[in-house]
Amino acid sequence: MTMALSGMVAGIAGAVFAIMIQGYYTDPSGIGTYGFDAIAVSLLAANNPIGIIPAGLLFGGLESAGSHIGIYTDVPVQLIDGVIGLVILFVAVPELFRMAAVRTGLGGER
Amino acid sequence: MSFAEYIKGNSGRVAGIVVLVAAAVLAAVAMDLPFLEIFTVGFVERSLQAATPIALTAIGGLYAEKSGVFNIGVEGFMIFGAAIAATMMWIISGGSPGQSDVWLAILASVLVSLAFAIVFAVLLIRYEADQIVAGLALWFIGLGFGPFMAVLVWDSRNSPSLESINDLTIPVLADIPVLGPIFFDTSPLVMFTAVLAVAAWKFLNDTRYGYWIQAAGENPEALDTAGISVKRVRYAAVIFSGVMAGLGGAVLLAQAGSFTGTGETMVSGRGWIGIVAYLFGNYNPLGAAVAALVFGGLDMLQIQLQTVGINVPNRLVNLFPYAGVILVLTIWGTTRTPSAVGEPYESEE
Repeated sequence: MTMALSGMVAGIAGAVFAIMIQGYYTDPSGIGTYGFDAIAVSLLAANNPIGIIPAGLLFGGLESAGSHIGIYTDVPVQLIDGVIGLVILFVAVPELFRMAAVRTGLGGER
Repeated sequence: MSFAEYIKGNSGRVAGIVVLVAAAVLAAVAMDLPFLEIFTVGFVERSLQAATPIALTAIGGLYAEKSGVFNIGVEGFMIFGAAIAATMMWIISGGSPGQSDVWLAILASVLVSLAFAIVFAVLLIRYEADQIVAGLALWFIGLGFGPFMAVLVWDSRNSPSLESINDLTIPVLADIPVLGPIFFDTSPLVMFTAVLAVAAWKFLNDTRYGYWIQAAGENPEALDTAGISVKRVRYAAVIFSGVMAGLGGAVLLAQAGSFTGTGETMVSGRGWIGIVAYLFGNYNPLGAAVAALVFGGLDMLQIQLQTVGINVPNRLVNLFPYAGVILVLTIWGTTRTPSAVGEPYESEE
């Protein structure tokens, strides 16, 4: 049931992307890595539906800022993809920051 | 586990592959296709070459998963491997690479992959990162920084044409009809991968260290009780898988002869196919290599069909491995995932 629901929501997301953002249908590979981004968003939101909103805004912001930077500066766009990857990587390791906090005495109870 | 036992234990799967191939052959005969024009010696040779990077990646990923750690990041490692091999080849040779530069580039790429793999393993094992998300992150980083390196070096996502690896001809053996050109007059990397697949299988099933890796994935408590550090075994397996995926990417580059960084880069999902391949091969290096060969053959079959004038949509062919693995997992459902996979292990001390 939950799997079916998640598939349904993901399908709606695909439809929204095609209708609202692109306005036309192209090769499905154009949808890029949104689905994988979404896994990171839900992780960042700690599986809390309300938390999805700021987390989603962060990733959406990074994405659109990427194209902005690509247009107005000489920084290669690929760098932004890499930075998004680094953000996701650090999102995946809360333990790293907890251990760092313990070591520097900033808190993070054991 | 002997080879006969493996066949027996996976008889459904082996029979499935045989039936599939037989059905394809029958369909081809029934539809009066120019059979001999499709299945040429060159086709088999190209399939083996296409299978090489997939098989290398699959063997690495299989070791990591056997030891209890998902390494979803193999795709990212492959992109890094290919990008680093390309830039290294360019830098070492100063712009006009030769054969020795190709080998040096592969070596350099393996060394850099080793460094990345160590960092990744520390994040996964010491800092207990979410294995799926960290792996995906690695893919994104690869997608970003791989082409970024190309932009830094060549001002473009794609490299100019570099050197690709020459075939190695073994005298006498290469003169055997059909088998000679396929196995003994081909890229040395194909031979290397075949030897490695057998060695990896032997190592996993017949040595103490292989048993440690399997125990770390199946029953880490038992391994810990036996006085062997689970984390160390997992470090070794994850680092090995990263290096193998990096090597797979470098091999891919050495075969293609130039780096492509547009879209999903030149790797374009081969790392994912590698994961599919070891699932298909039921965590057996030989099975994974055979599955990689099937997928490599599918990839090349399309070109083969085009030359005789049959057009099959690219996307349909690319779908086969994924659809195939879902079918296999649902119908036979015999893939034994190591039971402790994905769980960080905390020693009691």
